[in-house]
Amino acid sequence: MSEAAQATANVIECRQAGRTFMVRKQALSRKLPLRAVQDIDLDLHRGEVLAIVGESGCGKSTLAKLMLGVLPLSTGTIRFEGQTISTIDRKTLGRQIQPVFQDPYTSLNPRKTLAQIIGLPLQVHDIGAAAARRARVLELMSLCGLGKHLYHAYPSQLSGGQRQRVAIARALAADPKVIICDEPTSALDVSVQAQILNLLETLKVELDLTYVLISHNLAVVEHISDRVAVMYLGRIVELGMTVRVFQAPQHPYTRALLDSDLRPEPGRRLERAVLEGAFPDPLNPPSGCAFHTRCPEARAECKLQRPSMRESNGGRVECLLRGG
Amino acid sequence: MSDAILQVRGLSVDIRVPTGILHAVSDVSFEVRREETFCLVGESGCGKTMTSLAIMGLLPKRAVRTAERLRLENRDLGALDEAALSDLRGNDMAMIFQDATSALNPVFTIGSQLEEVYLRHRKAPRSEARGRAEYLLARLGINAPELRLRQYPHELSGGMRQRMMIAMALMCEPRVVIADEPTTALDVTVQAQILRLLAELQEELKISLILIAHDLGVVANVAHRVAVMYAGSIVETGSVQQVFAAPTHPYTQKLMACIPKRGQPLGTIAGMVPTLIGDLSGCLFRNRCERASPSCEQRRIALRDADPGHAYRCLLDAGTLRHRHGNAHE
Repeated sequence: MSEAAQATANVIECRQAGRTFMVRKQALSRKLPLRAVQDIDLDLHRGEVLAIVGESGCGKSTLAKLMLGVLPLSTGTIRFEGQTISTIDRKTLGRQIQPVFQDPYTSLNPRKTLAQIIGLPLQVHDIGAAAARRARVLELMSLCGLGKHLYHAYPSQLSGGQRQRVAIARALAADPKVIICDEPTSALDVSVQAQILNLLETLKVELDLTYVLISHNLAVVEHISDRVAVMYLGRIVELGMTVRVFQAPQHPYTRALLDSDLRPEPGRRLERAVLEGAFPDPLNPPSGCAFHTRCPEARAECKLQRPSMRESNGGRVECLLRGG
Repeated sequence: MSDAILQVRGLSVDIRVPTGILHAVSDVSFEVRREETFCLVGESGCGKTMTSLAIMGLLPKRAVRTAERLRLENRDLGALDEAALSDLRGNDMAMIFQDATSALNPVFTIGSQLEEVYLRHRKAPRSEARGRAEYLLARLGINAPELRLRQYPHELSGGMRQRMMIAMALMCEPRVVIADEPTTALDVTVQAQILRLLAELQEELKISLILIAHDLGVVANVAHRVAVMYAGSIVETGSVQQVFAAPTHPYTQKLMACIPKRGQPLGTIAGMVPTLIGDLSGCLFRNRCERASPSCEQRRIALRDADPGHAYRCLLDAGTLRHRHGNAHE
């Protein structure tokens, strides 16, 4: 594939992307490097839904912030449509990539009306005159299933689901190409979650969007995503088509994660959940494969040697015991 | 005497709000049997937490509880005064709260908080309380319990804090434990660990567990029997197999259809939960139900049996409801 063709197929390309924070364990102690995200090689294909899954603290939200360009990289590069994001003006990038956050109770300004909240990106990017902006806000509201009567409403007058619709409408205002959803439904009830997921799916088709979906809800990921990246301690340990990963997980961690997921079918599935122990301390990560401390299949070499990404069963997996 | 350890009949909770009376819980009846896990499941605001607080006698001051019957074994909970209730809570009946971070006191060590429960109810030396705490922590899979007991809540991870909450509830070997969304704030891997531990301990210590949850995946995997709540009432109840294999009330059916599944369109429930302030009449789900008819508005609908042990609150008969539900999926 030529370079130009590749640039159009991938909206975002991460190459060896990493971010290290310097943190203190205690007050006055020496600062230690915390590798929140490291060695990320990840392409976001145009028009896909790419899910990023993993336990809390695995670096999925840091990766999202790197892609949004709100956090600078420590190592590697991230390109948006072929251009390195650190060289793209913040405002220009903001028109192309927009976030939707987890908690619609804190991500909306309680003192602004919906008109102001949804219209703010239009104002910031200087899009249209006042009348055109008003029409655009109403169009966005109807697109996201918010009635016209809510135009002057405040977030406190809305339900959780309606607030998340407002957050989505705001993200869409400047007509972005990529939406990064960080746990968009985890604060919502299942029936409301279903409405929001359906809305995201409809909008994707209508507006030609590409999504990055960060979630710990595996049922949501399986339902909505095309590809899935599994993260553990700042690294992507498995990447592949969602159908394939859910049917035949390669990495022992992916398997453990899927076994821990409780499906709404009666049965004592709890016995299958094998993963013991807790997430390791990211300031003092295990040697070799970071997962070896909890891995049911770990061998002596896993402690010594860090695995590299290898092709396996149509996807990629970072495990000494798989692929190659 | 029946198999029931806890009997709740005709429980209602009304809360005074500026605009009137909010009927948070309306005429809820169920019983919890010995050593079983009974799940109250429903979405935010359906009254499941209020039901559990009403049983524990921990309702906010503005709330008024009425009940035809509220019995723990042979004791009438409705007749107990605050002092007697206080003796009972933590000793015979204990609660595990959702958010361990805010339920634990940040300025006391884990050990002193666990021991306090034991010393409040038993005339025993502190060493005995410490021994019990160490035993429980070890049983909950915690390494070096004597070290953990000297730590403060902020020094522990979320999963670890939730284990402390469980240990605290089990200090005095209660017969009934109410767990209000005990794993909601946790990762799936930790959730599975905690639920498995809870199930093991329940069997070992012969506890009856009331689990309050909104996650149908959790409910399906731990419950023996289930009650589905909507707008303050139980709309369906039965064994976990009955409710998940043959959901009968239109709300239960729709709720199940909202769970994401690969390659299937996601069902939704149109409309919103009705306000529970003021006079409530008829079926409260009628404004969101495709099968509603004028008769649904007229009177409160009683629970009726679909199968032995499986009841639902709807005017239509079970066969009709399930038949249409089956068709809708094909």
